[in-house]
Order: sequence, then C-alpha cells, then structure tokens
Amino acid sequence: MELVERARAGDNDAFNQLIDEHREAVFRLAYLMLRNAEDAEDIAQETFLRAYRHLEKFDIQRDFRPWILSIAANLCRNEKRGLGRYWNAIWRFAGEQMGEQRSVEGDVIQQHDVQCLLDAVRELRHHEQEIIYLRYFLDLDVKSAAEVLNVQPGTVKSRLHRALKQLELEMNQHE
Amino acid sequence: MNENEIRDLTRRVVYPPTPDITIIPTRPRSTVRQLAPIAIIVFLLLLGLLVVEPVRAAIVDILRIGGIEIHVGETDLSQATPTFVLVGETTLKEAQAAVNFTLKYPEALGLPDVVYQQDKLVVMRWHEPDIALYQFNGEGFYKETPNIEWTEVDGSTIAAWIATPHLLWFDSGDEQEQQQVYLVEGNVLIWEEPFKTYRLETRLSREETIALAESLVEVK
Repeated sequence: MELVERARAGDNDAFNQLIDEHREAVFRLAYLMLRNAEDAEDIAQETFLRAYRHLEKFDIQRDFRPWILSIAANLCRNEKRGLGRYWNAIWRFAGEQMGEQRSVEGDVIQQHDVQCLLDAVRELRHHEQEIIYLRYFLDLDVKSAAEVLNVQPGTVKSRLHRALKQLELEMNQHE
Repeated sequence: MNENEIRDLTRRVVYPPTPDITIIPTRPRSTVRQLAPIAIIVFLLLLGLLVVEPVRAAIVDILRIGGIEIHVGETDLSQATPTFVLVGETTLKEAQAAVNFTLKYPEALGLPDVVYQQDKLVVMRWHEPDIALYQFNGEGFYKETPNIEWTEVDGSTIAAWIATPHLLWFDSGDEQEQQQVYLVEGNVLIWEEPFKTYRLETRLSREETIALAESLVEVK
C-alpha cells in the first residue's frame, strides 16, 4: 500500500509502478470480457485513468488489485451494455471485412481443449463468466473475486459451484 | 472437469501482448473510429426499421447492477400494484445494528424522516422533497423497464438512470410466497459499491439526483 500512499501524495513514479503491477490483469480481464484487443486496451487505459483520478477514494485497508479490476469490470459491462456495444459490432464487422479482426479465437494456440473451454465459458450467463474469468483465468482468491464483483464471498462460492456444473455440461457439448 | 484441470487449460490461453499504459486524458482516435458517427447513424436507421416490425422480443436485454437485475424491453404496467408499502419502521441506530454495511445518507437532505429495515434492506425516506434511498446487501430485486440510461456517480461508478414508469418486484427465493409487482413512477438512480447496492428514488432531475448520490456521508 506504500505505492498507493506515494501516488496519492503526487508521486507519478509510484502510480506508474502500480500500473506495471496490474496492467496485465486489467488488460486480460477486459480482453476476456470484450473479446477484442483494441477495446481491451482502451478499457485498460480508461481504468487506470479513473483510478488515478479517484485514488483518494480507494480504501487503503483493501487490496489494490480487486479495486482496479472492479473498475475495469464496470467499464467492460458498460461497454457491452450501451450504444458502444452496437457501435463495436459495426466496427468489428468492418474490421473483419478488412482482415484486421483479432479475437480470442485467433489469438489462442489452436488447441482443441483450450478452445472448447473458451467457447463453453461464453455460453454461461454473464455473471458466471465473470466469476470464472476472475477465479481461474486471473487466479484471484474468493475474497478478492467477491470484492471485484461486489458480492459476499459466500455468493462467489455458490456462483462458482453453479458455473462449474454448467461449464462441465457446456464442455461436454462442445467436445 | 475439476478446478485443477480448468486452471491447467487457462494457463495455455495465449493473450495478445499487454499494451503499455500511460495516463493521457485524451487519445487520438483511429481513422476507423472517426467514422463512428456515420456508422451509428446508419445503424440507428436500420434499428428504426426493426422497431416498426410488428413482432419484436418482449425483453431485449437483462442487465445487472449490484443486487438489482434489470429487464429492459416491453413493459406491461397494467399488471402492477400502484403502491409499494414499506414495512419494518425502525430507527437509524437499530437499522445500522441490523445490517453488516455502513449506512449512508445524502448530506444535503439531512437525516431521514423515517427509516425502514427488513433483513438486509434499509430504506430511508424524506417527505419534503419526496425521496427514498434504498441500500442493501445481497440480491433479489428485479426491475422491468422500457428503457434505461447509463450515467456515472462520482465520475467513475457506473449507474443506471430510469426516468420512465417501470415495474419493481422482489424475489425472496421462497416459491410459496406470492410475488407482488409494483409500479414505480418516480425517477430512479441505481449504483453500487463493494457489498452494497443503492437505489435512489426521487422526483428530481438526473443531475440533481446524481448530486444527491455523490453527497452520501456515513451515519454517525
């Protein structure tokens, strides 16, 4: 938390260190949720910008990573919800036509079982997808995932239980 | 498939390289993105054609903010009960003791005229102006509304603004319990913070309501 305190005091190097520590997790979460590298980069940029502006509101007693990931997740949800979703659909369509599209599918090593997992996760409900991404793709513990999702740890556990059961069903269908 | 097998698979996912992040308030837009307004206009025209089709889906989207699930789409208000009766009148002190989150109130309004508490839900009411602030931990609230606007509280927290009559119901999870659907005619702002969801119902404008939301202070 020393970095946060220094950043709050105006030390930009400290904030840059925070970025370096967390940018991979933020970018990957955005990438998994939005399935587009450029959108994920925009979200990562916006996430750190908002964190920078609102650093005073961060509760120093908590871990920084769940806080920054919760900002990223909110921005991703908003991106998916609003007009941006329709705009992006058009934009992606254009990108596909120009051969510029980069998707998760295109970026993973063509391993059948990995692809099956990604496909199966996308068949889950949105809040189940998010919990799977946080817990298994980003390796967050239950408490941190609960902080990101704004639910109790018990809710994370029950959602995980349901999501895993559903995931298994989906995986069997994709195989 | 067990957790270890899933983790093993997730480690084999290859992501694009993580970009460098620099805090620059504005970024130049790409050429493709500069065409956004034209694309949006074309899309809206196409969307307009779809809307006039005689048959369309009743619910077009299901969204979630904190513990509130919002169904956006065709909304039949005739089925609703016009009055939402609050029960469990109590004091601020007792309400605070009954829930595991810190109660807050809009400083500009002062302390509430009446407080209600039921399980993990606390509702503060002010009579003049007529305002209700719901704060709760958990899930179970549902809304059905023809439209929704996205906004922000404190410049970073995503919030939903509903300014049209819509439906509200609560699902306790008890299948034996009859589900009552209520009509909400006020303007509603919904946002969340860790372990807590806020629902602020007012007759005020969006900007005035957001200003109230941004003025929340802890009950001492």
